[in-house]
Amino acid sequence: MRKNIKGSRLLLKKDILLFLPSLICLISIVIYPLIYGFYLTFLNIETGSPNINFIGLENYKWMVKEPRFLSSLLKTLYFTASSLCLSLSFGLLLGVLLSSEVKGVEFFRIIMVIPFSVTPIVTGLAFKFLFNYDFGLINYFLSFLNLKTDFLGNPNLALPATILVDAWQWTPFVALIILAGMLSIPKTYIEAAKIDGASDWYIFRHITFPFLIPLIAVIIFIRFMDAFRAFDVIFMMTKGGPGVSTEVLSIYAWRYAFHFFNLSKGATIAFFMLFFIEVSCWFFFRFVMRVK
Amino acid sequence: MLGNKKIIGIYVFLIIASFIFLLPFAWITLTSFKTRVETFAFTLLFTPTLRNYINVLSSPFINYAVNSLVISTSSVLIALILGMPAAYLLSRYKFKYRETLYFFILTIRMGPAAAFAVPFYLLYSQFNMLDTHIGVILIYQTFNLPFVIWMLKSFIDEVPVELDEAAKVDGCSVFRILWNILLPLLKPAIFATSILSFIFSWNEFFMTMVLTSKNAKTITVNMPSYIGFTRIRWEEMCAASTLAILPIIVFAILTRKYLVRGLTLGAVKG
Repeated sequence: MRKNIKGSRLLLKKDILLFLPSLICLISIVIYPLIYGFYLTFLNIETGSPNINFIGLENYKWMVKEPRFLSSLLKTLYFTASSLCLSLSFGLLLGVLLSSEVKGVEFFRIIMVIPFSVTPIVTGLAFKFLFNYDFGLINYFLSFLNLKTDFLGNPNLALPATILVDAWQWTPFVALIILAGMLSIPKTYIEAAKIDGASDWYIFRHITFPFLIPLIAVIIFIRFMDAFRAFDVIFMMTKGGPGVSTEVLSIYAWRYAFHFFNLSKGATIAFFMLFFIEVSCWFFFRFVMRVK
Repeated sequence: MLGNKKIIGIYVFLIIASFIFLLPFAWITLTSFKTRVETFAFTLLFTPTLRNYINVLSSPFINYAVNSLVISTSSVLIALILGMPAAYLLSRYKFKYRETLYFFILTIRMGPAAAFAVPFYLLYSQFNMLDTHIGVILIYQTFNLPFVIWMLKSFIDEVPVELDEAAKVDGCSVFRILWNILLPLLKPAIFATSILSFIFSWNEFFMTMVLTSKNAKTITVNMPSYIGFTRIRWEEMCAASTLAILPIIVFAILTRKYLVRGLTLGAVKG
């Protein structure tokens, strides 16, 4: 973040009129609902129930004692960490290969934008179809090996399956960030190393990789945020089931607010997620971005 | 230069990777041309039929597609009109708490959809705005507005400030600077930003699912309805999915140069 932009000016009173509508809308559409939502976490609102009371921190006390919440938090962290590691390692490999100057590589680069921009709901549906026990393509191939498995119906396999799909979706995204970084490395560095007889691995380890470190920090940050609040694909594939085996926090918040109709408890879970994200963002900007 | 063996290795890897990343969408597109019975067979040899598309297009699906189009487009337009001045403000002016505001705008976009869906649901039920187009357009501002502000700010930062200074000396108002100088200059950037916002709006699911039931339902919220209690209408679902993702794939490829920048909120200028 640039601290002092050249020519920064003080706000003049007559210019404020131009920015006012924009700021008013930002406050009324974005900030007010957030504050209202936060206020809801101190009430006990249930759809259809007329009793609304201020109950202080009761919702938060309930949340930290609820075993289902804690197990959901663990699942979310497990989901986030695994998806992050998978997409980072495969994305790094794919990105480096996409940066090689072979004929027609542009075609492969174009293909890579598809998985993460396509509607996640459709991605979820497509994988639900592929993982299907009776007529899914994956089980069709596994049946030759006698390994036919009901991935989404098995409580032990459903979460890993959703992790795989999330990693599948975001690996190309990581690859394209790495590609952008690779293309920004001055060619002279690598050529000079080659003339000195450095091996490919040596060049990667000592020239390419140090260049990529700031980008990897950005990837970790963004992937962490996205995986932590992932909803669409999991919702479409399993709806949190079987049982609670894929019930990550976003699914849990949805279930409480709009399935069990306890809006306040749902909001409490959602705001826990928001705080978690805010703190991580702050930590990231404060320590990681400054240190780079 | 790369050796021949290495080039072949790279091609093999890239072809396998492309196959893996395209397979799910290729498979549903293929299935969308099959009859119901063929859906359950793994054959690649079948006579393609357009029946699923005819069925889907003669169902309320078409209304939901129109809803998606209307809601996404208006939401993007509103976000642009409101976001442009705010982006200029953040880029060019110095004021107290600027960094805090900047940080806050970023983190809002990173927040979980449920944190917005619950308060909006309650507010809308008080004001009778549930299941209305305007309601959905407004809640989309919670992610489109921060996104547009953030993106346009990073683009305005790249325009030399001397340009505004010169215009100011010639007596241009801030509005004129925005409208007559920055807007034409940033046309490609604004175009890319709107396409990306459009993609996000089109893809949105959680908030729309919670706030709509019939009238303002979008294409994404309609998707799960093919999963019935007794059976899943795979073949129609595949046709509907193919239609839903077609514009997104075209848009994503069109704006691919800006896509990475947009999704990393300007941190990576791909």
